[in-house]
Amino acid sequence: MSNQAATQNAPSRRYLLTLAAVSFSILVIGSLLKPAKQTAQATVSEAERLRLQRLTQRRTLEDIGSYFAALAAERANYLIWHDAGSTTGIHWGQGWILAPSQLSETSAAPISRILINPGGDRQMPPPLDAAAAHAGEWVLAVWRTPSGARQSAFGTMAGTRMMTCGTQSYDTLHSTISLDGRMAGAGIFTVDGSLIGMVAPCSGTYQIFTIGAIESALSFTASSAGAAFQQSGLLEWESQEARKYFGDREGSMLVGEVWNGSPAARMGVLPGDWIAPNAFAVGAAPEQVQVIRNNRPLTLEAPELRVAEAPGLLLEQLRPGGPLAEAGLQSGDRITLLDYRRPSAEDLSRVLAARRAKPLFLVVSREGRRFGVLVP
Amino acid sequence: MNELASLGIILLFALLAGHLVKFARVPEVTGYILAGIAVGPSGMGWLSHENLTTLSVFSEVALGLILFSIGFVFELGKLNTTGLGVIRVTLAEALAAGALVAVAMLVFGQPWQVAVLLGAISMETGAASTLMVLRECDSEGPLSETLLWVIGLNNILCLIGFLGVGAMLDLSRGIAGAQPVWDTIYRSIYPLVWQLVGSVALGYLIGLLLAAWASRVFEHGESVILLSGCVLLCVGIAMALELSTMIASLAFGATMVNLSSESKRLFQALGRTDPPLYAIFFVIAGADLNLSLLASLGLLGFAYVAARGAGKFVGARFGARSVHMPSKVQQFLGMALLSHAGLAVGLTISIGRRFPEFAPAVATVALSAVVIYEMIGPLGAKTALTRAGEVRERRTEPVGVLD
Repeated sequence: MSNQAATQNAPSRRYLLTLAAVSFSILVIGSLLKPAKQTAQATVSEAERLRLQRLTQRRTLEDIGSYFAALAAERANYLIWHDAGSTTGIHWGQGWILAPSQLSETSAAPISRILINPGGDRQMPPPLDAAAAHAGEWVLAVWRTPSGARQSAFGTMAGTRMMTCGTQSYDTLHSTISLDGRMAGAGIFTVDGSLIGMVAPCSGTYQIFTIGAIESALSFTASSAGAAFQQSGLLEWESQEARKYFGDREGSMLVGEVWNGSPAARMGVLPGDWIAPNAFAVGAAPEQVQVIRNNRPLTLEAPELRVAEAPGLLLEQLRPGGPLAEAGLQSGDRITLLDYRRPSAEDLSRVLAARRAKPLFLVVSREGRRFGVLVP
Repeated sequence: MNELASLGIILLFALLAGHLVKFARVPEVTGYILAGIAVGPSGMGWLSHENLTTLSVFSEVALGLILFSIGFVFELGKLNTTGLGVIRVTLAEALAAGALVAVAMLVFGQPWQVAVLLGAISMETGAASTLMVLRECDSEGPLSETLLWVIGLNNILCLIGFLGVGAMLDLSRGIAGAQPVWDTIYRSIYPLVWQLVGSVALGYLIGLLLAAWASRVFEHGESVILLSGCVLLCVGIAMALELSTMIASLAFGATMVNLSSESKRLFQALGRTDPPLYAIFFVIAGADLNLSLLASLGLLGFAYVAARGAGKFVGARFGARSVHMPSKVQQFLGMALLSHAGLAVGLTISIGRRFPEFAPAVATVALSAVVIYEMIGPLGAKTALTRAGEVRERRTEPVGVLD
């Protein structure tokens, strides 16, 4: 009954079936015509994309890691454990090695060249100037342990920066590799195996010295002033005014700076002393040295007893534009001598306030060295 | 918590909330949604996001059933009398809302792509919650009748609008790109045609199956089995073929009502069986609402909410006036059309896949507006029906709207 009602109300059966056939064809054809998924990206969720990215990065790191392990094994042939210095050294051709100088205040240069095997035929690694490398580039540090084993670490370059080490400024290279004492002397290599720097101490820290910095350190050590300083811990006072003040003496060297812990400091040499240029010659360990201090000859002997250095007057704050600041003193400096006497605060302020015919001579102690200053 | 326990919690909370909100004269739907918020991740967190993902299949089926019920309104016989007028009203309210929202977004400095996407989304009126209010109020009258037609047509129109906008964006992006122009055009137009024509074809086929079988099924239990089987089949195939489950269900219902005299009986059988499913649907919808989005609503969100509301009111009023609908319809239709959910959320999700570059802006605005409109939409519909005087005394036995 209801069936009849339905067929009476509804269009003819043939019409309905035709429509059904059309609908079915639409679904079949439509499914077949569906365009292929556009890109994988569109269907990948954000979380999945990040996971893939991390996976790729890890893969890259693993690849870089295995590549650098192979490179380190090969580049380690250029490195040697330098027993005398207790650091790594880098072969520098014809029996020489490059090694960090001992971490002492008297070191003129952080890196020196040492002859370990005259006439040796070990080659030096191909050097590369830091300017040719870019921030973000991978770098590899390789060093040796006391047992001679090889160690390595890798990271990326961050850039270069000027650092003051001792008396000189050097170009240093910054990277994501964290440096410590075990790595002193480590060679820093680029991905293609070129040597781009060396780890050496600088003012109590470790830095990567660029090839340019290594060369300038070597050339300073090679100069006469550098050589004298390296030996004695003395730096010459070159200003004409000071030479005149202390009575110019031809053929002698006027001491400007004495570095604590150096042979000269142990002997008691002071800024303002005249000394023979070769007093601390290479290979010589003098028992005594002759100096002229305050126009009087004086014989300084190797002390049997170390006397603790007097603390002197600590300059906590300096008036800007005052005579001491004008003379180049800084807060934190200690004045150990005032015209060859131990100063008191009253002396200093009285002498500074008074009018004077000739400059005041101060010996100032700063960061492990003593130097002379003339206050007009 | 496992899924069965979640379902139990959902049903019991829905019942409890339904009881509670009756005192406040608030629609039950709002109670269900509030219950969903309470047990969901935004509230006490008894339902986790994983639970919601698993249970989303229930939502799909319930939405299919709801659209199927709405499809029952499209009787060919009425098309000539009511249909043409209602189409104009629907066009007016949807286009007014879409245009106002798009203009507002442009005024607030959004790129035109975001503006048209949001405009297309704002055209939508939440079919499910509006239908549930109609059922709960057991309302009868010109407003209820018009409302049923409008929410059915509105969802089709919104989908067309969205697919059109999507095709436009694809074209604007693709023609400048490296791919061949024809390929771009094909890729842009295909979803539009496929989701409309394919969904209707599928709905028709399933409807035909149901109509042919229905005359041989008489028991209540068997009717429910037949109906649920067909709805599940329709929704399932639509999902597998990437068709629109909503349009397929709508076409399924429309086919059924036009081909079988058994439709009313089946519809009543459905009405006695489906309340748990609807309760689950709305609680899940509530639990899916992310209340923390309200904080990010901002000026843009308020502009969206205001522009869409104004568009619905003004568009419905002038649309209804132009086809000489009763004054109550002119007055209250806009208020009844405020619900905003279901399709809007679905479209926002599909924007995330198709236009990821615009998704953050669109999703923030649309989803936070959905939170607001899901609260006030059912309330607006109930108020409109009450003030139009179409609410009937509720009977103890639930009855379909076509009764």
